[in-house]
Amino acid sequence: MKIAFTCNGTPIEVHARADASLLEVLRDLGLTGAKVGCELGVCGLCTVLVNDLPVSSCIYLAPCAEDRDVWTIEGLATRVPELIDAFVDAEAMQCGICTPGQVISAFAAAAEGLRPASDELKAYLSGNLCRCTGYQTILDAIGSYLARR
Amino acid sequence: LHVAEPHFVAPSSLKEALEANAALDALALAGGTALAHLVRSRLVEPATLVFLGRIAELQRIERSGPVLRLGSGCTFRQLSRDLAVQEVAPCLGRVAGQIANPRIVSVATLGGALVHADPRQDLQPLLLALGASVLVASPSATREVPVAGFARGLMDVDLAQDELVVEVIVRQRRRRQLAYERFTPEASDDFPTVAVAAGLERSEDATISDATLALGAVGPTAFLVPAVRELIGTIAPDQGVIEAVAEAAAAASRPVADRHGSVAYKQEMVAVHVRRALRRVLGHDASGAA
Repeated sequence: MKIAFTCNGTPIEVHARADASLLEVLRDLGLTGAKVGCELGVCGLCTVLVNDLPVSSCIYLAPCAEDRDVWTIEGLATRVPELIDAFVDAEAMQCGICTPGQVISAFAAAAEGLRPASDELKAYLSGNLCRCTGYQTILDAIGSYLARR
Repeated sequence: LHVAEPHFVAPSSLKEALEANAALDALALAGGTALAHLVRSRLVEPATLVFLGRIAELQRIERSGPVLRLGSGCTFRQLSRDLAVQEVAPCLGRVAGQIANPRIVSVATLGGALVHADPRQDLQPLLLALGASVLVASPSATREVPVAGFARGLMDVDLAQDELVVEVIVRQRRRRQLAYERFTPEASDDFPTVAVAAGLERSEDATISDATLALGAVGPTAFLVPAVRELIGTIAPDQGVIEAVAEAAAAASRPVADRHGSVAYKQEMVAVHVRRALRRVLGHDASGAA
């Protein structure tokens, strides 16, 4: 079926099965920043924004994105380079597989008005799993981004 | 292996959705946080997916006097931020905003949760303790049924093929307090291993006039524990009464042994968390209830 939506600010039209995930569609477009992880909505590797809210694109059926505004890490990196810089400056990654999802959740946390180092921020980000860094550098990066906004 | 692709329809009105949903092998899709995975792994194979996410009339929250009507298409995020929900059932809004993770809260819906009917979900015990009801519609009729009895088990609810959940109805009580306890021995994002919702109403002179207690995750569905009605008529129930209710709740629970604990352990945790919920709702605990 045909699915039309806005992807990283540009209106696009794709052909996909009705039971395709948004993640599959995005990765087929070459937008491979969103990773395939648990495929259950638990790990956060596939986080993207749909109408400014974070979603797990692995359990978001692609046709549900019709007419909606989708942002992936590729687009967000251009839109808010200072957030990417904060991750680099804090060395908030090791293997890097969770990083795109962490960045998108950080952007969403900023939009929710969450404060640096708050329990609310930690709770908000707890759904994005990292198996290398121990999270502190990620919180540092996001904290410095939020503090400078 | 070729698997037939489902048809996908996205009606913009409830009337159209009811007509599309009445077809044989049609399945309503709300947020999809449970269903997308089931469809993609072929555990369910609908001929048609009827997407409800474009129907504005299902996403409304309306309050008329003491009656709060929550559209079945409301997301957990909407429930968590709505002023009417905060006034009528603040605990419901607070819990809705803390389910799973923000990506689920963004997308998952009230109606989807009720129909998926996973006994571990957080909202069912609260809706039971609130005495909420469900408005169900088919192309030809509507009916209102209590949340109690709506679910029979996972993905098994009192809903005919041609029916959809339209609204959840919660009635405000002036001196009602609610407390919710969820026990997650591993990550806080998990489904609860034991969930307890306690509701209490007091009359003008502070006598307890109604008491409800509901458990989640420890049986085929969330369910009410009638023994809590022992609190009715008292002002400050003594420890023995609270203990009897906690024991009755543990005895009524039918948990399944898994990596989160044995049956005996989970039943003990039911008693522990019922005591905590009752203490909070009775005001014996500084962290309070709402």
